[in-house]
Amino acid sequence: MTDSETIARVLDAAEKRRLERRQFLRSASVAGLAIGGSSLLAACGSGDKNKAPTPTPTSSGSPSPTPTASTPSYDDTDVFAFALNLEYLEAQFFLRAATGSGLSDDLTKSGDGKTAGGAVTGGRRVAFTDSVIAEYAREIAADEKGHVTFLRTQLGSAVLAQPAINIDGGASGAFTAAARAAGIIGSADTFDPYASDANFLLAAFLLEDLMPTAYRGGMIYVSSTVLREAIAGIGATEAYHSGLIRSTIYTSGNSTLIANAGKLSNLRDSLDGTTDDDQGVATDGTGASNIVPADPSNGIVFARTPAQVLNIAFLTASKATKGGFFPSGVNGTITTSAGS
Amino acid sequence: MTDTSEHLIEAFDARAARRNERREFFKTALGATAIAAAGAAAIGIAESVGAQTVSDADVLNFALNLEYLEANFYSWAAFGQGISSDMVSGTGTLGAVSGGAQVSFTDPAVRAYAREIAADEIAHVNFLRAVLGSSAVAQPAIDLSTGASGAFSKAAQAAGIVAAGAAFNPFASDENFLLGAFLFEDLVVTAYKGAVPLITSVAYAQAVAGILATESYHASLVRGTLYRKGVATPALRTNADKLSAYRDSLDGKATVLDQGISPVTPSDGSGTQSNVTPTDANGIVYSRSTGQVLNIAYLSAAAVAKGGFFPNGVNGTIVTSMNNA
Repeated sequence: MTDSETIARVLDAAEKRRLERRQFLRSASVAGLAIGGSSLLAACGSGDKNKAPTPTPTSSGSPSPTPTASTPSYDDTDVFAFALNLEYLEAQFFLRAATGSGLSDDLTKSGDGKTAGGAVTGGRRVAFTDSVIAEYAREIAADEKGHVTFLRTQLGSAVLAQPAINIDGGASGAFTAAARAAGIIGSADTFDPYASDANFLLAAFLLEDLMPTAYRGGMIYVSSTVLREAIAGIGATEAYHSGLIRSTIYTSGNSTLIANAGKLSNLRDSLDGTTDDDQGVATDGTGASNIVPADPSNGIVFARTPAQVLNIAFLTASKATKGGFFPSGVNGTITTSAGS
Repeated sequence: MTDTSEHLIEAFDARAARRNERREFFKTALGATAIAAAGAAAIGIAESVGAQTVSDADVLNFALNLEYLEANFYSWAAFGQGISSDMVSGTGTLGAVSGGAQVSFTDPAVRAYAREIAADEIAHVNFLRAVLGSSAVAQPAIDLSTGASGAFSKAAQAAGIVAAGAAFNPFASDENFLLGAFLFEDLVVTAYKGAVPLITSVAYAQAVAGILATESYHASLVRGTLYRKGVATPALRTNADKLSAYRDSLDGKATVLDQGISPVTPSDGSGTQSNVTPTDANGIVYSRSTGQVLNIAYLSAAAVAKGGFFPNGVNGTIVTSMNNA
């Protein structure tokens, strides 16, 4: 088995199909994204610098991907620290939505105790009408808190404090900015994720789908096989969460909710470069489910580079170091979103 | 990462301790018969890393056997036929699929899920076969039969969801299909997670992690649907719990690597939680070693080379279950 070469060839074929579909989807959905999304789409040039790091086969047959100028070199600590930023965000959102209060201060301060966690703007308990969705929210919140605790334990004294987080449901909230850009509300309207079951599901959808792609994309930089297992395991948990949110939206019977999830998916896809690596929860026109956002040619969930993840977290298609859910940026060595 | 490996080992030790504590709790709560000393905690990550020396191709071929099983099950349930005969050849002994039938779904959502999962599993077979090339293993003999002596019935009898000697047909109804799918999906998640540290190529590790994520979405779909339907039909939750406990009884008595779906209410007053995602205290899904995976696929706690869903065993170099008898 010539592993790297074979897998690169198989993945290249998949990449080509993705790009073709992306072209189709772009032309099909331009109108839908016009409100508030035009600048984002315009920023999505033809450059492909954000392409996921396809492992480069080496002449020696070594399975290790060869870093290139466009493939930054990160180590295991960088990836864990990067992931912790995302887990802070998720834990604060789900804990507040489910229970009304977020992470305790000792779970957000730096490892040396000298830096307190950044402020969290917004977030409150959702008055769920569906008790099953409330149970889902509490389960996910507990898992996310577990992830924060786990990653902090791994990073030890080197752990960095929580960055400032914006999960506000008001006019200046990151969720509102995303909802406006996606076109699920008007350009002057407010989106409050804590106002209803449906809004909570959409906000959870926006954050959860990002996570499996972030963990899968981050794995390529992790050298320790044991740590790869941990990263894959957290990514798997996030996939369970994402699947739960997506299937709950799909079975809601609420066509507006399903359509809005599709618009948020398109927003994510417009932010992270020219690749088509995001999907809504239903297949248009047929009623078929699309709970698993995967490349149909191989049934494998998409990956995003850390920079692409930050495009979505910062809500920008440009190169940036802060914005969106992280108004002061993220902590660690991986801090900049991709830009064409 | 200076501290990471040490921290990870510490964390895994702590996790094993927590598992044992929980195991004790469940043992008491479920009134199960005596379980081996809780001190046998070391099973798990460390063992699965060092237990055997296998190549990446060996691991991918091991996974391919599981994908043949899943793809045929879902393809039959969703489309009324097994996977195409042009995607089953390879090294080892080619086997037939016994049983299988199209489910007459009543819930359109469950039917949609079955079709979606089937397409993914077929794609996984094709992907792994493409990556492995001429070294891909052939489809082994697979038992999807529904008589009282079939693998599904044997599992259902052992789990206590049907009486001894009674048949369980996963193709008979939406509910039975979901329970049959439940039996496989959680297993495959733990199999892929356990496989990650066995893979040396980071490219393959990333691919395996991606398939793992897809299987996690599937497991979530199945568990979430059972959980939701369990509001009106509580037996769906308790039967899933029983299948989970049965899996856990096969893969080694000292470890908890499985959880049912029934809600849990933490003592801290934070409110009742669903249990759609089976995780340890860190919120991380479980791993099983290849031997533990085969315990469940073969429906045996003993070290054997065939049985259950693979009546002639699996193809490849990893063929023997763990001795937990």
